[in-house]
Amino acid sequence: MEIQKTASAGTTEKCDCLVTVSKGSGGRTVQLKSKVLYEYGDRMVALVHQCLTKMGIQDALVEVKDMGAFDHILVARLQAAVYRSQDKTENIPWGELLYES
Amino acid sequence: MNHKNRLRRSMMFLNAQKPNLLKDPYIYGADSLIFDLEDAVALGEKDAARFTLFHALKKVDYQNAEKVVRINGIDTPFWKEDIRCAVFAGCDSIRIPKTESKEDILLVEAEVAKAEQEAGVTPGSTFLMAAIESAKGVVHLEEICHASERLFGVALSAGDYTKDLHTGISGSGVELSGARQLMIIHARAAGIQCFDTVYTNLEDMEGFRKEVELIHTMGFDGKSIINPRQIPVVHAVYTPSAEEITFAEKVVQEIDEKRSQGIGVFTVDGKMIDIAFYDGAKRTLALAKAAGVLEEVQND
Repeated sequence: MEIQKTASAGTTEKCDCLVTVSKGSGGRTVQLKSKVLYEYGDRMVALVHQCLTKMGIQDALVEVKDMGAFDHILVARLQAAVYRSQDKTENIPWGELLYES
Repeated sequence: MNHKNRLRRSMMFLNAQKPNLLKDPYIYGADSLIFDLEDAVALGEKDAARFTLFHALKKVDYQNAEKVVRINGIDTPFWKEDIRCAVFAGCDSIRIPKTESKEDILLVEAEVAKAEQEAGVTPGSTFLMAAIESAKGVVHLEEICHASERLFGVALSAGDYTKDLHTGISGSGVELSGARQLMIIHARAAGIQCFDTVYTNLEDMEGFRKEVELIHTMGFDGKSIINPRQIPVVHAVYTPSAEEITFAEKVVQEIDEKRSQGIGVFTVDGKMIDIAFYDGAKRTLALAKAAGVLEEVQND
């Protein structure tokens, strides 16, 4: 799977996050803004990488504006943004979207 | 494990795309949670809402609450993927909006069966409920209520229904009286449950309580709600009094005893009782147990 175009999902409301995915420049870059960056930043970035790996995405720029989202919301927003980048809204492989927490 | 005829006094709507609403709604104690993919979600957010719904249902422990997903209408391009998402996520039930015929139910049922097979979910384990939102839906209640073994109930949705009648919600309930009466009659005839519409004025809790008392008296099994503040009001109205519980216990006990003695009709506290009272008494005790008041009464 590849990022086809820039796409976003989520909001900057409480307990949510806004995730934007774009084509990378030969690798994966994750840029995270969060009030809990120092406590949970490494874990959140690792989770983004885990999900990208599972979706077979090696080349991407992922920007996350976190407003206190739980792991499953971060994953949901990331996956929604990736599928939006491909204009894919049907026949989502739901059974393959689970992640290791 | 969900049960088709489980207690559903309060069915609380939640916007499926709002993470702050999805994280811990079980703490308020609603019997059922309705995760809304339809009206609460903007057209451009339908896809993203499915992802938040999917992961919330997979990751959050909603404890004893039933997990119902309201899908988009079958006249939209969204409903089939809504069903796939909901079934893969492990929802208990699907709420079908704007139901107008038996065929509507069968269409959804076929798609749910397909999704269950694809997801490896036990066939037939996903239940359905049908929202009635038009005059046509009310007219076709008989065929709707008998449409599917999966169907556990019908619910009135007054917003669209009153628009279809060329009126609005008055507060008195007069504009809903015909639909309410027909719904409860057809639901009971089909052996399924029946639920009332939402009450949207959160400032008028007294009006809300009166409406809950009305639909409780009419025989409805519960009410759709939009705010946790409404839950205790519904549960209080649906909680049997100490006298009702004591009487129900006597009825059940006496019927069990008299049946073995071959006696069909007798009196309890001066009232004539026969087997027809049995299910009602059992229902009263189930409601008391769910409300947590049965043991208190027994200990008095």
